[in-house]
Amino acid sequence: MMDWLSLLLPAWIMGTLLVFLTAPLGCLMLWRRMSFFADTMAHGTLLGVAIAGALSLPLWMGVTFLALLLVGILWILHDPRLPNDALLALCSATLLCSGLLFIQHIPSLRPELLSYLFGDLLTISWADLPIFTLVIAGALLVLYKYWQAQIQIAIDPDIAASEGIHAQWQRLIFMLLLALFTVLALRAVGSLLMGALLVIPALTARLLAHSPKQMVIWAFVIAQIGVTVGLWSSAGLNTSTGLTIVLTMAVIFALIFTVQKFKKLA
Amino acid sequence: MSALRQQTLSPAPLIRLEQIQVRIDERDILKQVDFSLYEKEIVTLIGPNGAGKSTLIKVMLGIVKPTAGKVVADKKLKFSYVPQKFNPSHSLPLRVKDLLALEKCSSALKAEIIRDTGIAKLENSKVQQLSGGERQRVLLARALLRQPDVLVLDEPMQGLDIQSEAELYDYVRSLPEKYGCAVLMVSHDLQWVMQGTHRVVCLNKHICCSGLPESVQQHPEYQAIFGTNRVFYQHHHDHCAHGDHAEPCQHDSRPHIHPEPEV
Repeated sequence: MMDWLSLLLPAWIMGTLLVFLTAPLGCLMLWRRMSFFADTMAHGTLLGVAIAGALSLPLWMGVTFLALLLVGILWILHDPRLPNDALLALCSATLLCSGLLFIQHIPSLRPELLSYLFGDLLTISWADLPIFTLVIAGALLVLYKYWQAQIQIAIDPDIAASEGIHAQWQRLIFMLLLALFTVLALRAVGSLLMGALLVIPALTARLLAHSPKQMVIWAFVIAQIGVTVGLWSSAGLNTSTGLTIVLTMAVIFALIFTVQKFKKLA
Repeated sequence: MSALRQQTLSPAPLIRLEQIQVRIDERDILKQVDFSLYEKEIVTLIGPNGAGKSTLIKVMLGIVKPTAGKVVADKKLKFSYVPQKFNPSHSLPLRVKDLLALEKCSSALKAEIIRDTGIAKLENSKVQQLSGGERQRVLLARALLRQPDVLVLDEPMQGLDIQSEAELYDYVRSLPEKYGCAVLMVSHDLQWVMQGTHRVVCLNKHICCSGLPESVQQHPEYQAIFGTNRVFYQHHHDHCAHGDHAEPCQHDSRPHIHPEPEV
């Protein structure tokens, strides 16, 4: 029992901390219609891992570099003839393919491929937690400072611009926060699943909320339930933690959605 | 005459546009536009479709960067904008009271504005489900809560019935006096132009003419656009039985807009 606890407790705390960031960030992502962007960035982390591996740099450096590169690429690719979501699909596929190809050719990384794709929360140790907490607190501070501006842009970009809110600057801040999140979430849920960690609780919260604040709170509660139930049941069922957490969240969404539909019918 | 009056009342304009040009896809949207707005002034922008009215407003508000020319205004000048289109994403749960809560102001002022724009009953409604008229009232209220120096309204009469429209005009007319803001409005309503405005600016990519409503009407370029036959409807207050004029009502003598009738 104690062995279990010492293995699961740091992982659980890390998941719980991560939710402080995913709840507001996920809601903003929905409101600003940027879920494709989050997914693209998440897939891009894989190439970041590969680059870091090839140059024997720490992983977070590679992932940060790639996130910044993606922000730059999208900045340059901006073209009214090309729809944004399609451009993101292009980048997403390109990054994922090159990341996979790269990793397959680096012997030291190959055995870890699955954990980069789906994460491995259980590799988190107590020593990781302080720096992790600090980074999340910093990100939350930035988010808090720009929260109202971000909401105003989500409500109406023109009104926001007329009131002196700089849309491009706010967009950049949001992208950088997402980039930071991908660095933090890579080990927890992996490249393929981190989009789900943002989007599923926010979607579920949308079903329940009547105001922006309520939606963030609901997203927080639902993600916490997802992380906690998912993590502890994955230990009991001996399943992958990342997959179990995402599936738990999906089940919560399905339950609430179904109950609401039935209520409407009744 | 109006120029003289403005000079004595407020020597410097709040905002001045100089030789503004906007080109989009090699097409001139605006060219060589000079425009000034003075304190507590009500100016109406008229012109045919595609004349660049909304673009001119957006240049002034800093939403659109002009290709050439400059906008001179105090950095501290506060704008409020009621746009023509307002469609927030359905993924954002937003009630009217959440929208209004974004602007910080005293609760007395807030209560007054909510009452005067007739939106008290809408506070718990979802912003995305408002009718056209309700949306205009809510947007106007939100704009006023900011206590702006310049209130910019882009065709604010959409979706309003005739009675509310007349009330809204009366209300807007009272705003410079009440809250000390200048009003710039895009309007197709020539009756409003005639009665409610201190100054009219007729725009067709460039400024055709501007001045008092009566004098603009005589201008050849104005007549080329709106025709010589379409004279302003001269409104006489002694025969308003047909409901196009807001009657003073029993409960409050100040200009205000009544809520939409409940269905």
